[in-house]
Amino acid sequence: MICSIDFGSSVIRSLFPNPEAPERLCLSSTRSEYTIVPDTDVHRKTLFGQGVPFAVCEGALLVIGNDAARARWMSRLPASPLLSEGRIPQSDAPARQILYELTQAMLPPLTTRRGVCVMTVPGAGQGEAVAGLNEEFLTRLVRMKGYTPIVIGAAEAAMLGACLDSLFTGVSVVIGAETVSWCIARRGLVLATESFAMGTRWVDMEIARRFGVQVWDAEGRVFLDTDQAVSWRIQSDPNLRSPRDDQETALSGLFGVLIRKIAETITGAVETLDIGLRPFQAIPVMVSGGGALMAGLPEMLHASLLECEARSHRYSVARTTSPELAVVRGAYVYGELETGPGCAEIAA
Amino acid sequence: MDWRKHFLCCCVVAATCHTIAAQDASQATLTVIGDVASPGKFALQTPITIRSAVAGASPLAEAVNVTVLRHGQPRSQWTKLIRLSARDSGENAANGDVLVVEALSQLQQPAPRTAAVRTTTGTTVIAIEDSGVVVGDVLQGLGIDSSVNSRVRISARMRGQRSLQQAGTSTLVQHGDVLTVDAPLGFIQASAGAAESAYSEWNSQSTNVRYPEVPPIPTLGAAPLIVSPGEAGLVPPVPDMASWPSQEMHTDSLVARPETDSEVPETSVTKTPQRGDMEESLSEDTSDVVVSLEQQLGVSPVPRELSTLRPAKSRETQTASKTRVLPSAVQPTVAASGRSYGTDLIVISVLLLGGVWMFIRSYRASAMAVSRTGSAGGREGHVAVTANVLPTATQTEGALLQSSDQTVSGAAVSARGSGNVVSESYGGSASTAASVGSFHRVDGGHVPESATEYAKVYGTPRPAALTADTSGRQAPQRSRLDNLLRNAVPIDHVTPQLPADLNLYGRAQNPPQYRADSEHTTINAPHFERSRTRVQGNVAENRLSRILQAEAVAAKASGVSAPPVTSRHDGNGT
Repeated sequence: MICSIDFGSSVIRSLFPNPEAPERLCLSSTRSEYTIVPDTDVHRKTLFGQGVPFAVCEGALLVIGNDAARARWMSRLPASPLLSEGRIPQSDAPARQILYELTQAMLPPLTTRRGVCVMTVPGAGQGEAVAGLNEEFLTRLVRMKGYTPIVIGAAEAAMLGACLDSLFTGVSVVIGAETVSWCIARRGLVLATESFAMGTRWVDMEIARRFGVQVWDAEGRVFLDTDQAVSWRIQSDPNLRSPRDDQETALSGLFGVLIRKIAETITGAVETLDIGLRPFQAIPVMVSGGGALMAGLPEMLHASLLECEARSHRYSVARTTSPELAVVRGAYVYGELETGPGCAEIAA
Repeated sequence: MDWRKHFLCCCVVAATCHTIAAQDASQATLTVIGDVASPGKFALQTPITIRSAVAGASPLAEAVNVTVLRHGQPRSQWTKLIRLSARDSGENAANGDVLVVEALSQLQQPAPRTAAVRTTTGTTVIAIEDSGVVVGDVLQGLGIDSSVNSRVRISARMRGQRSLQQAGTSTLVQHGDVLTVDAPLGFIQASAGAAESAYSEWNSQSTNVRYPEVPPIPTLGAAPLIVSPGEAGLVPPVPDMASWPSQEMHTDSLVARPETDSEVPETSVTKTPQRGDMEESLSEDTSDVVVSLEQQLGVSPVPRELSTLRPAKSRETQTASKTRVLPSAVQPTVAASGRSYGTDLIVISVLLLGGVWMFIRSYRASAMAVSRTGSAGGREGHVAVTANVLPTATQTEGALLQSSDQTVSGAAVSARGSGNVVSESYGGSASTAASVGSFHRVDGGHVPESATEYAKVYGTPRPAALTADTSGRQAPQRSRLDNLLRNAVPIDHVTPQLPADLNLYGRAQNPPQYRADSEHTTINAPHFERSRTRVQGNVAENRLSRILQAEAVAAKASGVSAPPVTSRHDGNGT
């Protein structure tokens, strides 16, 4: 049995065969955050009344995942991320237990003797030490479900899931919430890969800070309301190349910094690598991840690549289909490739 | 009224273009709109690059920004800067692409104001003759029922305007807009006759406008004529298609106009009528056609008359006759009008099948209603009748209809086997059963593809009528991995269910990195504005300590006992 799970800093997604229709797939996704609500009778009754499931910990009620937004008005605080800065929390015991519960709930029960779970691990841009700790913890959670974990990079997975048209040759960029990853591949063989700790959450925090998007808790402490910044960014759907007001100009500038960083690293690597394209053939660049949903981002990346390019390379930048699902789908493809015809027992 | 005339023009153009789109549905097409001199639809007969396609539409600036919308994609895939003087990057255009060309410099001449409408049946180019055209006008002109679950989005707009996920009927349609219509129940009538009905419906609301009429084209030889009753004297008579040599129809070419009559253009485009007054353009076209028809048919020029009926069809006839040179001058007329003996037969057979289906549906619905009544302890005599007619189908229907209001496939009923009256009525022919089955589907329009899924849903083996490929060509069999790589595997969304009464150990922490009232010492890099001004230590804590110390000193001086100086503000909110 094959499944894949993408531990994202913003959303955790898993993909597995539909148990009722094997030719179809099931996608399970939940936001990787939780909201803390005071443990009082009033709050319990309110949560019960609204049908919001919650967990109980010491002195607080925790609303987990997609339901966190429904209870946020009661806590007046932004939701706490489960993978803050792409790290497994070391001192937040409830968060670690929530990760366990989510992993158990999002992976299907193992119906065969063996199972493979291809997974991505956050924190690749935080250094090997952090990534190692994350991998150790998350692979253990997957093993507890009975699967054999296979760790894969997000950009490599997106390459498998989205770059069929270019025959898995070119550059795959994944813009996540906390991490940007890219890889350069030739016929599916990864030549170079890199991640750095910078993503859309930093952009949202900067927007909230610059424009004073804040909330106060009951004790008068001030917090940046990043949820509101994210909602504004998604709902207004601004075009990064044509901002209309100050907020969109700031957003475009912040994404410009992010994209400039991506373009610099990619062009630096492309100059030293032989991707195997024909002369004068444009290098395919596929952008995926939640950040790729921004309108105008591929165009901005294309312009930045041309600005940073020292040689005469040309690029063809495109956004993948369903960019937010490219990673988990590519990880599933990796599982299919790994099991292959010779491992029929696992694939069954 | 002037606005009505403009709107009329828009609708006529829409109807015209839609008819052509329906005819070209079987071949690959490419649409180019925006700041080009000749917007319209290209026929992709050979692989063509995006730059070539844009160049073929005569862009109005040397450097243009091309936004590419792939078929079936809600958003633009990429935007590409194209300079006509630069090399071709070699990116191929695909079937169904919509290219929105935006000039990056001042236009050399005014661009024809056009927009594209993407539907499930294809892409239609409309000419916007007035600035007051709204989405509702376009939908009405195309014959789309906007009230039947149709959702209109503006997938791409020029001049940096943002796209609209949900466009209302009053949303203005601008030059270069790409409208995407998701219409699960609403539809564009894809046949040539559908364009007639849409036009007739619109025409009934605007009876004051009159159009020049084109008289019938003289027939050649002794070919049999098929003329619809309502078309006598209004459209050219149609000879039998069987007597014609099999030749394709080609429309006006933008890129490579054939030098000789026999040369077929490599890339052709269906030209959208340009801006200008409707009456004037029609008059100009008519005069052009007269010359063309004279040359081809050897008849005298026809007088111009006015009529309110069917100008679109006549216009298509003229355009096709003008742009196509064939050995027989009548062929393009028939091809453009889309009516022939075979087409009529298809329409009649479809109507007959629809009637049969309606009868079956009403019959089965009544039977099911009786069955429900009987199960509730009602009229027993009717229950007995139901059991004789539909012994098994009713049970299955009841189970399905409890969860969904959608009907059961007719083919499924035909698969119930002998003893079923409904099965006998139309289940004799495999193709008939399949066609009826395609009208009514289970599970939101999804007919189970695999035999196991079919048997699971219906409880019977999958009939051969559904497994046979009625189109006559074998569908390519792809492996599971192929489908995965092509993103062709359907994905169902499920919600993870956490266990109830979940008890966790430990104390939860507030999000420390979101604190805004203390120094952001933990915000992830890079800190572009704060890196130089970052202060080591906790400024808030130091400030609070200084305040408390000052208060303590003041209280000591005044002789009042002050609280101890114990700052607990650690910056993490805990």
